[in-house]
Amino acid sequence: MTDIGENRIGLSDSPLELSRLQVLVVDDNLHMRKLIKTILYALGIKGLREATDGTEALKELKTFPADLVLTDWLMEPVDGIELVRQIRTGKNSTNEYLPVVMISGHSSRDAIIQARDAGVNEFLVKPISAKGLYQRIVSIIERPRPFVRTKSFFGPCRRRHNWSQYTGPERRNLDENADGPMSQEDVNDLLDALDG
Amino acid sequence: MNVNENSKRPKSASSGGKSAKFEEINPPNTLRDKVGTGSGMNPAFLKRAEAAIEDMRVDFEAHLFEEVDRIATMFSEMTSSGDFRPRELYLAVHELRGQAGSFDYKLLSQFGDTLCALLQDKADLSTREIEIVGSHIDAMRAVVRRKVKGDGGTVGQELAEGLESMVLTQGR
Repeated sequence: MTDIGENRIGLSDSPLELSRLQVLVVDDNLHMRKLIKTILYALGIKGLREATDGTEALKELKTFPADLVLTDWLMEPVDGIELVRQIRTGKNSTNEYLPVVMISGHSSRDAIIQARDAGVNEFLVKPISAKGLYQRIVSIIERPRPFVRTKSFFGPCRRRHNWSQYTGPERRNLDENADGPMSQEDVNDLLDALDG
Repeated sequence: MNVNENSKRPKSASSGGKSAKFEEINPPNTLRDKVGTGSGMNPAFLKRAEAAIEDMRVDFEAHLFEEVDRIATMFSEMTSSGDFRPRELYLAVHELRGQAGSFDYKLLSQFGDTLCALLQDKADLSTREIEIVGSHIDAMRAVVRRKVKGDGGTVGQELAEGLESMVLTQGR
């Protein structure tokens, strides 16, 4: 996911104008939705809808032409991973190319790869910051990846076969504890390494 | 969404000696059409968003502290009844750790990380694991009592390492 590098998204004198974007925020926690909405409003985004799980999100998408979905992972009954799968390959999907940012405390290597395999565009590790969320949105707009369709996958282009080539500083730690939590920096390094 | 047929390109990729066909599609960048010709982030808007989060701090702190109390009560009730439900605890702690870090309660978030690592995918808890959950909850309550922000300094990090060590010795 070469477009993920937050270090390459900077401040600008002529920035993107986000006021026309329509965003669906999906999280089962009221306080987290409030936090995300507060950030989005401050960034000038006014077209917001909310949903509390994947089922409700899919229902919203039938009437709300979202430009972007920000979704939590752990929700019941339908979680964020299943939501992404339904958006990408569901029979009733309204936009299979809809950009999705997964926002989650699930930040192990296996979790990141699972999210990519479901078809997320970006992964933002909780705890979130205004800067982190802003960077993900800008990244999706400025560095769109092509989509790829194979027999077993449909989603943003991913290459995940060269993890073994990654020799960065986080590799040893991750190998020792593949289930351990990763920082956003670790996640970015992992995704860059996977893309090769 | 309509995709220009010219943007669809069948390709083949070689992997492990086998050739696998895939189709590369470049969907129209509808977001770009809506955001003008600029690039990057608006520094004023970023400051405004950071200030907006700061404005939420008092309400969020109260919420975080209530959540710690709720988790402690939940655990206390499970201890009394002997009916431990790791999944229920996990869901509550998972939410807490995600929110705590956004408001500079990094130490609380760290405790949540290791507690989630212990509880994840557990159907029940051993006596030792119940003790470790109790230690985490005691530590979380101490953070709340003293309103410990950031990483808690040397003492906070020693405590976090101690709790992590407890979890790691459970075979994870």
